[in-house]
Amino acid sequence: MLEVISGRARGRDFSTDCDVAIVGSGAGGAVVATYLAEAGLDVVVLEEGPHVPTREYGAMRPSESIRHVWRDAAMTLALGLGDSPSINVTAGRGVGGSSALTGGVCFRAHDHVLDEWSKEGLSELSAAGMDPWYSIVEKDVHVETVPEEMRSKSTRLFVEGGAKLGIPFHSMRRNTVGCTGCGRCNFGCPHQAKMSVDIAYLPRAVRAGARIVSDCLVDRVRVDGSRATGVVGRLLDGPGGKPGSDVFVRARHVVLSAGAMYSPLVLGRSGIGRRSRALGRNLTLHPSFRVIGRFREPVRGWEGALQSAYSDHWENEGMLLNSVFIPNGILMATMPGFGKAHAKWRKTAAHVAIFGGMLHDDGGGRVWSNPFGREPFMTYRMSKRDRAKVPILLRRMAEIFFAAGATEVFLPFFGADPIEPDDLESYPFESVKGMKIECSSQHPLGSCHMGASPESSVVDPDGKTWDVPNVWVADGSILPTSLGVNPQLTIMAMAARVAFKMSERLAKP
Amino acid sequence: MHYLHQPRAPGAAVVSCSIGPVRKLELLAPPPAHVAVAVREGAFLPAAFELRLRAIAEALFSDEKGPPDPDRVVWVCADFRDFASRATGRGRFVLLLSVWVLTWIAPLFVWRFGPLAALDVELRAEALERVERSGLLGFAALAPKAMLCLMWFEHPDTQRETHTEVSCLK
Repeated sequence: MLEVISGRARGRDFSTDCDVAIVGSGAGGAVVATYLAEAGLDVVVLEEGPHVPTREYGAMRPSESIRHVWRDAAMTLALGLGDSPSINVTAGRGVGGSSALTGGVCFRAHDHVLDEWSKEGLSELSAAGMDPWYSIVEKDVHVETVPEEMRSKSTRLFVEGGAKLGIPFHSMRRNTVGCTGCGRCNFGCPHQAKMSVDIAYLPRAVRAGARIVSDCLVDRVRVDGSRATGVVGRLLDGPGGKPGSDVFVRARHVVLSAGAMYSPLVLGRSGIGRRSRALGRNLTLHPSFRVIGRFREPVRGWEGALQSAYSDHWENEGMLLNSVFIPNGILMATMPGFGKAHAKWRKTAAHVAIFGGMLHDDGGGRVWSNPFGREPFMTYRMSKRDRAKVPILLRRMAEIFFAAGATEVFLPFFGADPIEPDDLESYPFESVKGMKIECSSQHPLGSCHMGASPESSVVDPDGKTWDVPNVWVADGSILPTSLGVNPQLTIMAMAARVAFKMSERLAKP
Repeated sequence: MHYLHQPRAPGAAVVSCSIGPVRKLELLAPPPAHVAVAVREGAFLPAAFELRLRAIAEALFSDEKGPPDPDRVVWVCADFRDFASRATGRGRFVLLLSVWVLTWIAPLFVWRFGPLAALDVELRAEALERVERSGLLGFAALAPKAMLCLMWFEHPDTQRETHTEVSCLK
């Protein structure tokens, strides 16, 4: 059992001293906490969300998981500007962060992406430079290839459709041990088979002496003169986040790992990172689209690994096809109609297959502080290049489903009726307005991005803020660009690198 | 923290990996629909919320035979209320606003004034469909529809009827 100090149960102010205060316990914060604690530093991790032990969140119904360990009850939206779709952005909120809710997919960033970063002055982030960091975290979280027999029928049908059209698919790699294919990774693994950071890292950190405080909202970093002296915030009293007791953690160094939606807010409130005008900008989301195929035979797509196969056939066009499955209830909610019109789809819920398509986006997102609450406000203006890819991607996915034998395909357009094979050629994909497109994101990145110059970036090549030498950022917000693949592994690798950079510096007299 | 059901006791099986022993747990059984739903005390939700929600749920889950099983509608709406009461500020705001929009704005789409609940179930469904197809307001329909559908399909009777019982590959 992971030992966590519950902010909710404490009932009085929390004040302590440490070497390093880490804000956030997800894929970035947990990795930094582990390596710094194992290096002998006194580490305190402050997590806004609750601590729900894995055996409890693994036993929740999906809707219970959403209400207890998802941020904003999955209602976060990046408002689409111009002809961009508005994007539902989901993230975790609890000890372990989003890593507890991912499909476990572990991709390394493509070499061409890393090479692009290294050409922008981040020479250590080349493919060769990142290889050791990837290797460390891959071993830590037990990355393995998903065997083909673990694929769900939903995935197998789509892959078969792809094979008929000459589109190759590959097995994914995930951080799992002993997965039995229950298709519900996004709601917490019921078997603790997914090696999320609350299983693979945080227990190690605690064994090395780190302290984890849950239900603890950090408002800002306290800066005296040119250096940070710690963080201030408050303990939360319940899901509504009512103000509770005060928190002050004095620290020699502060690491923000609150994710791309929250780290820029904390920095902004603390007066850090404003001079470059990069703070909160450059947000990328990997806009994702689901396409559903209905088959005559039962599919029962939840039986199998949630994510098991992908195709990078159009990777040079910035498109990735990812297998996925979502709960039947959510699937049915995406089907058009109410009442009788909707009932016909409900009856055949077990006959649908689903696949996801994701764009390697150019950015165009921004995180704004919200004057009406503590949650950020986000906007997203999809680049013309990305917007032009949407109809192409959706048409290709529909073609694959029809090649697999689907009788109907449901496109991600609000209220749209399904299309049949004969409709495909004439369907006006290009004329569907952005506001009618259903789009989601699980990968907010880049809002405090790393760079070689203080004029154009928020953190330096080591992950340290340009403005304050003892404030660091280690989460998805520091990635210089989007990746085009699921970012969990890259966030962990970057966090491991930041931790080692910090320990080198902290070890010096 | 209060859950709608008690978590299952951990199983005995243990697998090992390079990280150390990993406990294997029993898979969640079908959802505990028989357990009474408890709303978190003190959470602010307007009293009319559940009634408004019920009007939407009845329209959504009606079929050619008429309105759905009232007991299941009550269960789903109570669970939805619990969901909304536990959501953090913005999540709860979005849910409340969406339900309000569907209650008062959707009837205008079929040229009626007054709350959605005042319409018969078929007309309600038509009004909600028009909102769903309307573009920007489609989001208002999506949030309650997504959560109602999610919970509807967590009910064991729904799973039996639609052959979507919880199961794993192995």
